[in-house]
Order: sequence, then structure tokens, then C-alpha cells
Amino acid sequence: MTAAELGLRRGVLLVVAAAALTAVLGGLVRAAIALPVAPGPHQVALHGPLFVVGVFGTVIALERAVALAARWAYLAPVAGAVAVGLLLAGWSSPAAAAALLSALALVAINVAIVRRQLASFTLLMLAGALLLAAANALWWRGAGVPTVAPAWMAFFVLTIVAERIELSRLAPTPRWASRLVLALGLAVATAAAFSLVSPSPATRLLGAGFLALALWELRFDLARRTVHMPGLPRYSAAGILAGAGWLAVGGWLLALGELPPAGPRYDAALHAVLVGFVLSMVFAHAPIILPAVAQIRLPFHPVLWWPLAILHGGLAVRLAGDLVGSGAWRRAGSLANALALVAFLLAASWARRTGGGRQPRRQPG
Amino acid sequence: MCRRRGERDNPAMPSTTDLSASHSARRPLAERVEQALTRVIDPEVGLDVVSLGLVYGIVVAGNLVQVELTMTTPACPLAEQIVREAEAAVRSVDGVGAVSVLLVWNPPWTPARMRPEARRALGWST
Repeated sequence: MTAAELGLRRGVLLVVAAAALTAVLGGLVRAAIALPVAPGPHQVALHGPLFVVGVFGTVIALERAVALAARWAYLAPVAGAVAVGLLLAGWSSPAAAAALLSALALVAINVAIVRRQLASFTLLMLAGALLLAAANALWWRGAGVPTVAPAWMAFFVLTIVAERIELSRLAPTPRWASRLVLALGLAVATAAAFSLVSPSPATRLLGAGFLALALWELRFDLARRTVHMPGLPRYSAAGILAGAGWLAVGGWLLALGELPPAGPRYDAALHAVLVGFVLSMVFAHAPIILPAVAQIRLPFHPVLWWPLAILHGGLAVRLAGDLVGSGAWRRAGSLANALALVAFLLAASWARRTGGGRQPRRQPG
Repeated sequence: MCRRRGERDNPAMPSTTDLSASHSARRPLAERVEQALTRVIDPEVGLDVVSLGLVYGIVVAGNLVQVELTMTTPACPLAEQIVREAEAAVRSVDGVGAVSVLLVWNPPWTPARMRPEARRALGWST
């Protein structure tokens, strides 16, 4: 890796951080929390795309580009970063075009990975990238966020579950369970594709698929075993298993009935999946991914448990507020979710400063 | 002379784990390199690359060492970092000159490549 390549990766992550900050502030404004410094109205309106396309989508694109180790693959994260810049400038349509380009490059990366290794998990990652491209294309053509949100969620769920299926090969998994998760993943991909043209039945089926995948993870994920190991593997596994719990909640909320384009159930379902499942996964993997992708050292320290706990506790309060109709609870939960990100930055700085806590090493056997 | 780990030229040589530190300098270089690679940990699983069966080969020619390493999938973004850590671990072994760690994808990794101790740690019966 050249210095220029490392600089590019870190630059992309810096743009992602700017997107996250703006998205969080926009989310707080939406939750009717008064802020001394608030983003503009168009940035508040783009809270969802900033997080989905700008933060999570660009990070996944960067991870895959690093994995493939081909220069052209950086088109995916760089186009994602360009989309962030355009979103922050308030140019939604060009931003959506850049996001589409990023998704198409991610499709090409996944095709290259499938050609290297044809497996259930590489195919599901490719299916997820295709969904992202389809959703971004519709968004570019003017579709609203509620129309494309189910397919966006499916992209993240399929990508993350595929990674978990791959890792779970390290533990004994019954053959029927391996076949089942592939069938569930393909069903989720199909339902998500249909949700872009006919939301009503497809989104309910998508929710049922999310719920089933979450239950699969809770039963068969490697995290069930690594949660008993000390240090980073336990922390990471806890984030994954808690995230799977929220995926089950989000799936259940989506399966309950037709998803309204706004309101408490929409808010609860989207945040259960995107905060509970996806952001928890980001917290859980940051100490693993940051050194690998950007050579940013983040040694595990027990203090990292705090932001994870605040994230999940805050989300529980927020969803409780959604479900019982309490604006105060929803605001408190939203604030706690934002504080979880601040706490994560503080905890990460502490871990870097102290060089991590004691790192007991697992001895096989 | 090239030696590949696993094709031991002295069958009477005790296994790596039987040797005390004071005898370590007398062990074949390939064995010491393999021992060093056990310090390279997959952070997600908490187990080392040797136990996980990710080391496909260690070739020694004089003081030149070439390691063939794989990942469980080409979609893994950790490959570059693990290669870097493996190079550092091998370079730290006494008597090693130039180090080359190659990432290989064929044959694809399977769980059957894991060593018994890693399989036991992850819940396999054997």
C-alpha cells in the first residue's frame, strides 16, 4: 500500500465522519432537541441519506475496496465520499447520481469477489450491492426515502449477514442451517427488490425475512462462541448479538403491516435496523476495521463497553417512546444515541492513549 | 536448500511445543518461523493464523523466508493487515534475512484446515 492510497482511505473516512456529524445533528433537530449549532434545513431533511449512503454505504464500499486490493475498486468509496460532499452542499440529485456510481462500483467489486470465491456469502453480498444500486437509481430518479429505505436496509442486512455466515464456517454449523440461511437471504433480496415497485406486501415479507435472519444469527452466529472469549472478541460478539436482537425487533415491526412513510412505527422500524443492527456492528468492528483499513490503531479497552451500552439503552428508550407515543422518551433516546457516538469517540481516544486494557490472549484448546 | 514446513528433514526432531526456549535457536528455521506466526491473531476470532490453518506454506532458502498465507474469504478487509503483522513476526525471528509473505487463494480455505486445538476452541468435536 502506498502513502497516497493510505491518504485516500483516511480522507474517505474523514468525509464519512463529517457526514456522521451532520447526520447526527440533523437527527437531533428532527427529534425537536434544541441545539446551539444546528445544520441547515436541507441537511436536516437528508438525515437518512447522509447516514445510509454517506456513512454506512461508504464505509462498506471502502472495506470491500481494501479487500479486493485493486485500484479501480476505490471508485466505490470515493464516489460515496463525493456523494457526501454533494449532500452537504444541498445538491441532492447529483449526490444521488454519485451514490449510484458508488453502488455500481460496489457491484463490480462483488462480482470480482464472486469470481474468486463462489459461495453463498459472496452471492448474498452481491445481491445486497445490486439492491443498493437499484435503490440509489430510484432515489436519483426522484423516489422518496420511504420508498427506497426497505431496499437500503436490505443491503446492509444482506452484507452483514453474509459476513457472519462466512465467519460462522469456523464453528460447526448443521448443513440444513447453512442451506436455510442462503434461502432466507435470497428471499430477503427478492422481497426487497419487489418493495421498490410494490411496497405493501413486499415490505411485510422483508420484515419476516429480517426476523428469520436475526433468529438464525442468534442461534448459529460464531459470536455465540466468541462471546465467551476475553477482550475484543467478547466485546465484538456482544455488539453483534445485541444487533441481531434489534434486527429481530425491526423485522417484526416491518412485518406487522403496511409501513407508513412517516410516524412512530416507521421511525422505530428504521432505527431498530439502522442503529440497533448496523451502528452496533460498526461499534463492534471499529477496533478490528480501523487498523486494517486506515492503519488507525484502536486497541481494545474495556471502556469501549460504555458507548455500546449507551447505544443500546438509548435505542430501547427511543423505541419505547415510539411504541407508547411518548415524545419525551423518543427525544431522550435520540439524545442518548447521539451521545453514544460522542462516548465512542472519547472511549476510542482513551483506548489509544492508554494502549488498550489488559489483553488476555486466548490459547486454543 | 529449500525446506517446506511439514516436510521435516529430520523425523527424530521433537515437535515445536516440546522444545524449551533455551533450545529454540537449534530448531529448524521453518519451525521457528511457524512459532512466530502463532503471534499473529485474527482479531475477530481471537485465534492465531497457524491454528486457524491460514498458513499454507513456509519455504526457507538460507536466511530467506517465504510464507504463503490465505484468508477465509477474499472479501475480508483484514488481509493486508494480517500480511503486515506476519511479515513483522517473521522478521523478528533470529537468523531471518529477507521475508516475503504471499497472499494466496488456491486452494480455498475450509474449516478442515483448522488445527485440532482451534477446532476444539470453536466447538468442533474433533
